[in-house]
Amino acid sequence: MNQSEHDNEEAMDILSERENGLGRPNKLANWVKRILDIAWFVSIGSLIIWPIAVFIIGYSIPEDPNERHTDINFYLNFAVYPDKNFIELPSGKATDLSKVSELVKGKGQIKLNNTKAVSAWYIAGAITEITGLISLFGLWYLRKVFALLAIGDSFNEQTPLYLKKVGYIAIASNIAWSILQYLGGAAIINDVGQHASFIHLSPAIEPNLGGIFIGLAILVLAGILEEAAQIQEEQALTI
Amino acid sequence: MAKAIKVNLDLLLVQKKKKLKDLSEEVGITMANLSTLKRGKGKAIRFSTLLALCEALDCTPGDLLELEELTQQSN
Repeated sequence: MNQSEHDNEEAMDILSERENGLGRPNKLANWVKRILDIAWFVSIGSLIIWPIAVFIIGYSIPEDPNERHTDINFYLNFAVYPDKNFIELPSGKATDLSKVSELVKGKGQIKLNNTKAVSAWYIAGAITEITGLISLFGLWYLRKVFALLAIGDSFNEQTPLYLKKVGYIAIASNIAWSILQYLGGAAIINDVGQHASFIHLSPAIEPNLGGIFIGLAILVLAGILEEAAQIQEEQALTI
Repeated sequence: MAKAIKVNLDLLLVQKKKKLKDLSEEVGITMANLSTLKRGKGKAIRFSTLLALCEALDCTPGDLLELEELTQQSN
């Protein structure tokens, strides 16, 4: 076979694949792809700027605790006790505090004024960076999926592989977030300490079951799409 | 030893002195699909396609399809 014939065969191959494999371009998928592109670039920018900002702010935290005004935002449990009933405990253990009934109890994004330790600032910053990086991987593969959907190549053999990765990342990030949230909260409270005798803070653990379920659902969808891609390939190569 | 179905379209085109383009027009199958078949990339062949090809090439399905043994290098 000479070069010209070989080129023709290759061109025919591409033509055949296009003829049999591609559907109509999906406008909605194209819009989602554009939004994901913007989110991707914003995330990359944020994840580059964030550690720099954390180090600059961390470096500028004054040595004297009285001069510190660095706020740390973190998801924590809180309980407010009546001041007159509060039992001062030297150990400050949560089990001992259970003897006192709290006035208010809950969990949420707590802003702590970092007056005692510098490392708490870096812990909070590092946790944000780590979870952001894990999410960035998910965003990367999601963009690839929507890039294929946008050109109408829904049943490309790569689509289920990308979707599987998105599913695994969704599950991993939700589990990692819960663990980091708890361990980070414990480390931050250990560094920062309790701010007031009648407000008790403790690390919060709140597994995002919805996020884990979505990850599992994506894995199931990827499995179905894998079969669909095989059927489509068979169909495309049936002459 | 693994076996596979080989499509002898190349050989029959030479024997019948026909071009792929002419066959494509005669049987109403695109050049791309006939090329896929000729290069053994196809996964299945419809009875209607087989009948059209046999009529156009004046041959039997046995002439068009052949059972071949795969060597370790080939897919």
